[in-house]
Amino acid sequence: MRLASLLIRHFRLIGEASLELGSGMQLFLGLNAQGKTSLIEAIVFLSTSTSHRTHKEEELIQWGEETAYLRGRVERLDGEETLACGLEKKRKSIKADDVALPRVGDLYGRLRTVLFAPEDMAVAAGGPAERRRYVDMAIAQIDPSYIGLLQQYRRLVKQRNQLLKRMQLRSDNSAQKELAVWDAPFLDAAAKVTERRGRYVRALAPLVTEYYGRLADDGPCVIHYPAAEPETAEDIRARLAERLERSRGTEAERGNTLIGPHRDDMPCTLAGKSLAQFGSQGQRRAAALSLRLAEARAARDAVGETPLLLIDDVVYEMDNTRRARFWDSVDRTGQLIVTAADLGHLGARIEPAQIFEVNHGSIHPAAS
Amino acid sequence: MTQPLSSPGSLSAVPIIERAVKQLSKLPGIGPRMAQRLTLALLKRKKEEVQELVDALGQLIDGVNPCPECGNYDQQTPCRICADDQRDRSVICVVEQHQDLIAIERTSQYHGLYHILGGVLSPIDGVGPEEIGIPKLLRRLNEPVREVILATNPTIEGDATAHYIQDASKTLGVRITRLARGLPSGSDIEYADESTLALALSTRSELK
Ligand SMILES: [Zn+2]
Repeated sequence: MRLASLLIRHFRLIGEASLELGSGMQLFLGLNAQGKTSLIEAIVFLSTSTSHRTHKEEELIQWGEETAYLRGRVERLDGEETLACGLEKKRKSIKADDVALPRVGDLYGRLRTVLFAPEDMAVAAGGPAERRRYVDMAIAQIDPSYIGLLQQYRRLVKQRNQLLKRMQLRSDNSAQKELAVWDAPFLDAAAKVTERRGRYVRALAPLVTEYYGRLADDGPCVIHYPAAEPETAEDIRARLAERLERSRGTEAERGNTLIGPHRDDMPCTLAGKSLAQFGSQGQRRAAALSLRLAEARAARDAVGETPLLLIDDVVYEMDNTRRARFWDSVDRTGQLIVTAADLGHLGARIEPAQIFEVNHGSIHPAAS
Repeated sequence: MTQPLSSPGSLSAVPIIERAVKQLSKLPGIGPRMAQRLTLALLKRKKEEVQELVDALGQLIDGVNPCPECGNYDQQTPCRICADDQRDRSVICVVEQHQDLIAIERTSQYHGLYHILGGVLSPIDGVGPEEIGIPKLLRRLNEPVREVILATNPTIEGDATAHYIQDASKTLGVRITRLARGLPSGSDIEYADESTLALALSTRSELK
């Protein structure tokens, strides 16, 4: 998979940039706050119509401008396609080959990316919400129908919660009767989401362990998803139904759905100990990188094509040995978008296919 | 890219125009800008033409009422479907909206009665069984009704509503059925969205 060209207009720090991108490593050099991360964020947005850095999409529009615009030509094994995202203060439009995509989920899978970013260090050792998002986004990119399922599940949780809030306020008999009709679809969707995540984490887990072993020697690093231990959706549903019955009282007390995939964790451990509790800075970073390397491999295994790797300044803080081990682990057969302040920061033996300079929100090929 | 919206009031400070714009913009699918365009278009028309519209709207609110039995709109009460003795009074088809009734009538395949809910259960929108008249529907089922066809939309809320009606009418001894789901006819499998296709697969039937 390759992003062959990219047009960016009024996105974050970038005023306008028009790029032709080749295969292999595309290196973007520039000092801080010149637009390197804006470029990465733009590609993430074109890929998922979300940002990894903010929930407020109006922040993505360049200061003082009304609209931002992104357009990219994508080459995949199954053909070429032009993706475009227009962003206004309260509206966004997404198009593929000039046809509007009505739902956000329709964009997924058209430009598959895996992001390595400094902000991402929490993915292995931060809170459960970080890992749920990581797993959900990774699945959505290889299986776009998952988004519909996830949205359906979230809506069911919201509907249930509303009834539970009513029950919390007063013992409400009618709400209880209504709740009964939401329980079955809630359990169905919860079981499906859990099962899909479980299948993904089972494919991912050995890869995480393998990549961590390539980056560092203090493993094994293990990710697992306890909620999906029964492997079939039916068994998961039965277990969820049991837990739901047991949590009825507390649910009504707190006015909230307390079980289900929106509360689950996929904890990571290192040599048997919780990474979130005991991991050092270096271990957390190595674990986060392992998760992303594993995600890229799992995507390739699932769809037969290496996703676009976005590597935003992550090697800067590593020592030379770690850098070398990182680059040795990265699949460089596809396209890589790499940013750094200086070529020397990447480590030895790194030969980019093309170098760009990022300066004051402009991007140009470096003079060779 | 479209330009930012101007506020509806900025067209003019004429209170009568503003009032019309405000009323029009309350209609579904009509934003402030469209309301402005419609208002200006009306001003440009001949007075008689606009009067014709005003009369039509006046007649609409005076002359059309929801049927006290089924909720269908008609000039007569009960509505002509409920009043028609050719129709099978032992079958009731429950739909969300008036439009759904029109769509089913268009097939000419159904000859029973209807019940229009006017919505679906949705706690987050404050809609419960009372708001969509489920008690009234259950009272209708006490009459000699043989079958209830639940024709709510195959959405989360439509399904929950159907499920609720089914639960609530269990003791009444009425046969409850649900519309089959599948691919829209005349459409390509290639272009069907995943959930429709998945549903079509899971509700597939034996070839006879
Ligand atoms: Zn009627």
